[in-house]
Amino acid sequence: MLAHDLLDAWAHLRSPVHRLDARVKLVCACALVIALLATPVARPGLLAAWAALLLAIAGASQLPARWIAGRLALLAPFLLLGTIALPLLPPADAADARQVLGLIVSAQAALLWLNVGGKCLLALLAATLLTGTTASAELLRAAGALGLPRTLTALTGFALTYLGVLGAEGGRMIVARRARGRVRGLGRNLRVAASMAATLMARTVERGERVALAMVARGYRGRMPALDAGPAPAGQIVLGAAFVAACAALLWAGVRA
Amino acid sequence: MSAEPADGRTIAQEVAWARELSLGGLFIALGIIIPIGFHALGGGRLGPVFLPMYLPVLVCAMLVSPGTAAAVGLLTPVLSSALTGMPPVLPALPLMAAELAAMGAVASVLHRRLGLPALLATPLTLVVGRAVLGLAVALAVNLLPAELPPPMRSPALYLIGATVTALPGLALQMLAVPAVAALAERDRAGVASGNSDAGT
Repeated sequence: MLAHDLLDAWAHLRSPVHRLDARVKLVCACALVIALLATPVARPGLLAAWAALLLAIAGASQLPARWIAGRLALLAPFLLLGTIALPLLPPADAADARQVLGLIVSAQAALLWLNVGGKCLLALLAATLLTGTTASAELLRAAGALGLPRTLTALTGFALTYLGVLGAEGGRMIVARRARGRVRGLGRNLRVAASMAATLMARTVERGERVALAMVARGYRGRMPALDAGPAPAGQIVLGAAFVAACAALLWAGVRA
Repeated sequence: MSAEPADGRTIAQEVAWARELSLGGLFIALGIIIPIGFHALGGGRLGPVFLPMYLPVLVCAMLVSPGTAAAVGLLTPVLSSALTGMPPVLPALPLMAAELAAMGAVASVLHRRLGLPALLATPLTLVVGRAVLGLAVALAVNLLPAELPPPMRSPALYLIGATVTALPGLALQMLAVPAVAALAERDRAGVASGNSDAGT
């Protein structure tokens, strides 16, 4: 359930974004995130432009808005904590001080926080759109074809495969704990959570050993099979190159403005 | 069946490498799942206090080679950030990726290459991790605008704040990592000697 919700839940749709080659999508997403992170703090307008671009892609992807919002809501505690901490920072000088809702906040720190929070949210939106429109196996194949070391793609593949298995095992442990009675208090809850995590790790080692023996028994010879796919369609390569160039041009124009 | 199959690897080496990959992948998955549980319990406040992602990375580092441990340390925060949004891509992700990759490699070198017991290797690794975090923060601060309030421009203040906040988590790692690693190594010996049935 966990893995299905995080991965591949909507990868079966047939939107124009879904139909793009995974390699093209991966390169475009990386370019967009790099451009996003390179956006200077003093350019909130450029951040709005990236947001508009991502929202347009989200619209074209036909992914359910509620699912996307649910994924973005994972950042809510971080954004909330950062916002609460903002008035605790003293302004650098009198010119930097601003009064907001009766509180004195540093204008520079507020701008930086807006920038950091916005970038985090937009980067997560980009990752959500990429993983929501591409099957995880396709993404791994694309990463391998783009030159990511085979060890990294193999480790990622294992992690994605067993995310659901371990999540389900953790879920069963939580159900068993609840069935044994309610635990009150944060301290006791943490103690139970720590012992569950330790048990889960010990079971994971056992599972890892069994998986390794099963791999060798099924013919693994020290190398994961190559995940190369055929060449991407020329039209899509041109589209991807145009998108990357547009990102670079928008960043350049935004910084120069 | 030959004991030395294709490209010069022995069967024992093949099993060892398969074990590295499967353990690494499984512990990355744990490094994504355990923080989700902590965030569900504490609404995002408990992560920086208990450092739940560090636990699987450090335990894994005690069981695999330095290269694989570094890869696990690098991939765990990156995949978790892409899938769950935590850690946030700024500023935590690059700092955690650098810290965890270094900690993974160092823990594995200390425990598996130099033979240090996990009880001693864990605190040394945590010290190295904090040093790498300090270096990464010092590099990152140079990218911040000069007009920011002084507290936001001080890597030392950030490092002290992060370390004090994480004291319960650091203590937890020092207690839990050696215990879980010992448990895992005992279980591993049991599985390797054929006490468990093979399968996935």
